[in-house]
Amino acid sequence: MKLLSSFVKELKLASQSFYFFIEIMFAIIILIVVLFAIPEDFKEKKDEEYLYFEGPKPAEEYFIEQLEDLDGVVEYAEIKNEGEIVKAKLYEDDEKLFYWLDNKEDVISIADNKGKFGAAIFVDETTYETSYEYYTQGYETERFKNLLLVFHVEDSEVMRENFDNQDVRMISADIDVLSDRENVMPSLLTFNGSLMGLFILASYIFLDKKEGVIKAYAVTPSPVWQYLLSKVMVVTVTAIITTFIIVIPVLGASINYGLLLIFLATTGLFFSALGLYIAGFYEDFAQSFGVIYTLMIVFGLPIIAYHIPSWDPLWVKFFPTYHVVYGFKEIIVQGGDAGYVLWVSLGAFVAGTILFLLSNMRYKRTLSV
Amino acid sequence: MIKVEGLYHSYSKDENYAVKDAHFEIPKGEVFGFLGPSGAGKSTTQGILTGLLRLQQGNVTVAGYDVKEIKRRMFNKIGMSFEQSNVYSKLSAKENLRFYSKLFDVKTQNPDDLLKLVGLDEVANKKAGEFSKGMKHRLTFARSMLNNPELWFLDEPTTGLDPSIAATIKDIVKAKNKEGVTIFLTTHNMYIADELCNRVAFIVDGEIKLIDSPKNLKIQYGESLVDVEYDDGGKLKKESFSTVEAKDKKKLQDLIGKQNIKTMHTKEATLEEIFIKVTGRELV
Repeated sequence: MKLLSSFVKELKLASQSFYFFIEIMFAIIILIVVLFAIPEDFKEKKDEEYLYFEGPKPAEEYFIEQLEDLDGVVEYAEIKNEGEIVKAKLYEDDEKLFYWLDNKEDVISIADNKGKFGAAIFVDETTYETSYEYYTQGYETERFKNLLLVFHVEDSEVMRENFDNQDVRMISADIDVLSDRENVMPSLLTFNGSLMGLFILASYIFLDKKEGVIKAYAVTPSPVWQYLLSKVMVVTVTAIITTFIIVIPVLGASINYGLLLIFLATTGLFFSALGLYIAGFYEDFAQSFGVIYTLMIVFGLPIIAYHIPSWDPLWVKFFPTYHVVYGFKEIIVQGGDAGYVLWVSLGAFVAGTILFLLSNMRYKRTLSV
Repeated sequence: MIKVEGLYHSYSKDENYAVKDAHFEIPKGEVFGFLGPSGAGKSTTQGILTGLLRLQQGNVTVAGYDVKEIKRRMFNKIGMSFEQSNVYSKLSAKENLRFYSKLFDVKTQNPDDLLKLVGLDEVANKKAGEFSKGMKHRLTFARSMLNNPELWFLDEPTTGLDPSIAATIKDIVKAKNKEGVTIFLTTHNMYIADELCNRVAFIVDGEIKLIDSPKNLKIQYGESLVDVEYDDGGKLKKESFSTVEAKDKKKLQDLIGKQNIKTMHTKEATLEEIFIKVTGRELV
């Protein structure tokens, strides 16, 4: 009854507070960005390559054939470059647009001005010996540069044959691939639900410390843990509300909301208990700012690892946010690993409970006059 | 109601004590004043008695509970009015009281009655954040009465209040005491202590220098003199007479019989003067 009364009071206070509106506004901004600024697929706009060919007609026809144009019909395009119109033949395959230009200087100039990939192909009239010039931007990786070199070590027909003979088997054929829009959701939800929870709970505690109401609570028969738990409950409920504001319009009915609710409740407990524990060591937000800010930055590193799969060091897996990001991903992806989500939830619940108990001990000891 | 024996407290956990070897006992129904300048150890002692500070050394019993291991139910018997108002500014006065009333296990007072008692009934639904300092103080004071406490801690209950409101607060304190409530009053205001307290303790630098009733202290430390102003043929004259010496007593009787007395005051010492005399310190 006392806990319920504290919870209702905290909910009322939260709904009138500045921080609550920050959370709601933040969720709405995320929703708008996800719906209107992030495309369903970043690759909707195809990459462009600018090519120049010099050699006998049959060789040119052979190269054009290799481009595997979608409709097999040559289109003509006009490219604006430094105020001039450059005419080109346009070929299009599944992933790229190829502009076939009439002179090498235009290829170099366009590659330079548009920051795109350019190439010139030379085929000897008599020997049919082929040579290539690539116009890159300078920031390409060594891997990419090596790949270009490899293509010219072997005969392209031999390489193609080798590729075709390789046996590729899908280990998990039922795994769905997230669209680019869905793929940004786990990191946004981690920031919104988890890291904001940490920050907001600490803010609520500092507000109460400023008003001195913790002391007033401490001289009532109601145990301190109920006061603390009511704060955690409010922050968790807010995290659930704001997450649903984002998730429902973007993902609709395609995900398991029960699983999401369990995940949000347990991770909400963990991060708000962490905020609670940290706030117990400081008198106001200014004092704690360094620690909270650093923690939020450090906890943000797994989000970077999530978006750059090639950067996935072992140590980053020890941060709780790593498992939260991937937990959200498993919830969003069709046929995701519900077992993993439940394991992360269990871990968050256990760790959150321990942090909460430590916070309770801390607050009982530090309520000073 | 309160028993304190050999109480020590150090914030730095060393020999630098904020409270040093304090001993006192407060029987049920007494108004006990804890007087001292800022930093004397008043709030520290009160913090230990109310469980806001952990007991480090000594034996302390409050309302029958050993504060070494505070039991939450002890707070059903205790009321605490803080010097610094501490109410939820986003909640109305009534909501503040209603919320706190739900935290007790005993029958609580009606928030409306309490707000009326402290003169806040007309702003009951106004947010506390919009209150003046004095109004917040009254709300904090009203909250401390919610659970009908047997033991009531009052920390500077009239500080910052205008005289008429301060008088109302003092009347409430007197009325509660008449009902049998034990009151632990922490203040540096000697006049309120003099008016309300059965006994007072003087505390300076963490040490209790003296405990006695204001009346006894005045007798012990005051001067036995009467100042008289009288009209002597159109001229206002002023004289002092000892109330102990026979010669002065006779003179005073003659003066009262023959002259037109304008004013006459016994020259008893104020608590403030006694405090300065005993401790050598001022109450600032």
